[in-house]
Amino acid sequence: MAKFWPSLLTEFIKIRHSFARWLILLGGFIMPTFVAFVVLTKWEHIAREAGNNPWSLFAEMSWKGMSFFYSVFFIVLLTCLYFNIEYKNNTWKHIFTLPIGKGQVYLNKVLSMTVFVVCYYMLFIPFWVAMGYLLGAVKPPLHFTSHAPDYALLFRNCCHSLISSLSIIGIHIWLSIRFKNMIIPIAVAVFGSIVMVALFQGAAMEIKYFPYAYHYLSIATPYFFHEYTWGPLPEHEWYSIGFFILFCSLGYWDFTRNFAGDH
Amino acid sequence: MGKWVIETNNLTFGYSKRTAVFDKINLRVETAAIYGFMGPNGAGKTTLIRLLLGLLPHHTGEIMLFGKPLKANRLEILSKTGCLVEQPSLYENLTGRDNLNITCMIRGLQKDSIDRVLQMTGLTDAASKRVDAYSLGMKQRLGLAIALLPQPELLILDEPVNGLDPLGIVEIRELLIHLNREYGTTIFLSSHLLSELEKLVTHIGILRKGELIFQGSAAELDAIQQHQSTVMIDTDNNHGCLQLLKQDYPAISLVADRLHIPYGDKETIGDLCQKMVLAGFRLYEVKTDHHDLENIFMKLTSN
Repeated sequence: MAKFWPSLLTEFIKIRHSFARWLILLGGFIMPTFVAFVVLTKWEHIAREAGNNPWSLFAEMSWKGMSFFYSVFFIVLLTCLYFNIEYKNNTWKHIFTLPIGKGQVYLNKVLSMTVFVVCYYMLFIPFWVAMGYLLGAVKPPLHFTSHAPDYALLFRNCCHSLISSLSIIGIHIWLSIRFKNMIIPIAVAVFGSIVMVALFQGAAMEIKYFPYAYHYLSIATPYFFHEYTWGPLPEHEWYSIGFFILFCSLGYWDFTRNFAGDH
Repeated sequence: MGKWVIETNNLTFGYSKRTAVFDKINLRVETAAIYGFMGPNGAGKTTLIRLLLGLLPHHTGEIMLFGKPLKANRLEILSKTGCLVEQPSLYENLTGRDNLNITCMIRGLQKDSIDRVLQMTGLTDAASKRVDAYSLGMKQRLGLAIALLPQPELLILDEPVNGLDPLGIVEIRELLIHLNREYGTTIFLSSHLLSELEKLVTHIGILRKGELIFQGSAAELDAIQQHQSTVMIDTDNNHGCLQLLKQDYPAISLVADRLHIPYGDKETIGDLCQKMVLAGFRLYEVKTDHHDLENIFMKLTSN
């Protein structure tokens, strides 16, 4: 029978030379690069606005960029590409003829997806810091090199953002099991993001029940939004964990009972 | 484990409730047999193979592998089974070795088994190449290598020589015979290449429209072959011979200006020839039209 660690490790072998792996590597790199480009083109204005320490403005710009659509679509695309490896290669039937339980296969998928998203944030941190220092080297008046970034804030934001990601991971793993066609989960994410914008526009408090808004709520609280903080986490992050458990359970049910990999 | 490695009892399956792909199939595959499974397209061969591997969950009747019910012992049974279903399932973004490594890790096997199966299937030199650069034949070999990784007691192969060149077909045939003879591996395989099956199998099952119309050993099939054979005779006067022999051999007939008589045994042919020669006829040709597996298959599946 399959042992837990070796079978989990196979999930990391499967993404070798695939676009899913490139997406993880590029995912953490693109936003700091894009924000750095914006800073470079408007550096005089930003130097004035940022004052003595530019890191907090750089962090705000980067995190807002990350949380508004970018992270959601990164996770959605990654989930689709990751599950598509099995669909495209017609390998579900091979997996199901190996001495490994369906439950374990599903657990491996959920854990791997979560680890991939953790990797995305872990790669973001060094890229972001490096990009800040690079900006300081290219434009010394920005004073990046004379200050250090707030590592505690960086780590806190990563943690909150990761917890907000859990709901999207859960929902899109379930969708990837339900639908072989990648377009459907992506369309759901597009629709979800449109609804999120509408909820923001309408200053609707119900936004805290809407998973596609959680990244933004974790990073930048809108003016109309008030929520409780339960223990170490705000209300919506508890909901994110709840959605993750709910959709992972649904996915487990579908995967272990009905899933054959050919629908 | 009893006599049967694979045993199904009244196995009935349909993709919908109204249409049954099979109805009460009783398959019996003996230990250490090479069982060739034949049937026209759409007869349900692949569906049956998928059922034997637990890939299709809903069915009535019983599937027993290694003497144990599949449903309750799926993982234990799969640990002793290697399979290749339809086209090989391979991660095309990975190398051949990576593909083998994945199966190896899930099955908890030693890494040296990878080199063993690469050598067996002649893929050692291509092991580091990405699978998307493999030819169809190489992919088929790799699929077979994956099936052979656990040194299975039972190999279930659906069209294993698909896409292989003639040399490849011979190599795979020899490999399967070697596995069967050396290690007693039971092999259950389906193939459209009936001439290939004929050279390989010890037992045969023929499926037609969801019904197992023949199941037995190659010897039993030989008996059918002989029974269905015809002796064709050409003489200097076939009409005269027909008149001469009609009384003793009522089954004799004249087809396309040749005498045709169902094959009985060697003695009968000798008697026939002697009679004609003694009556003054000159024999030009005496030929037995043996029905090969293809003919038998065509006959059985077309009725």
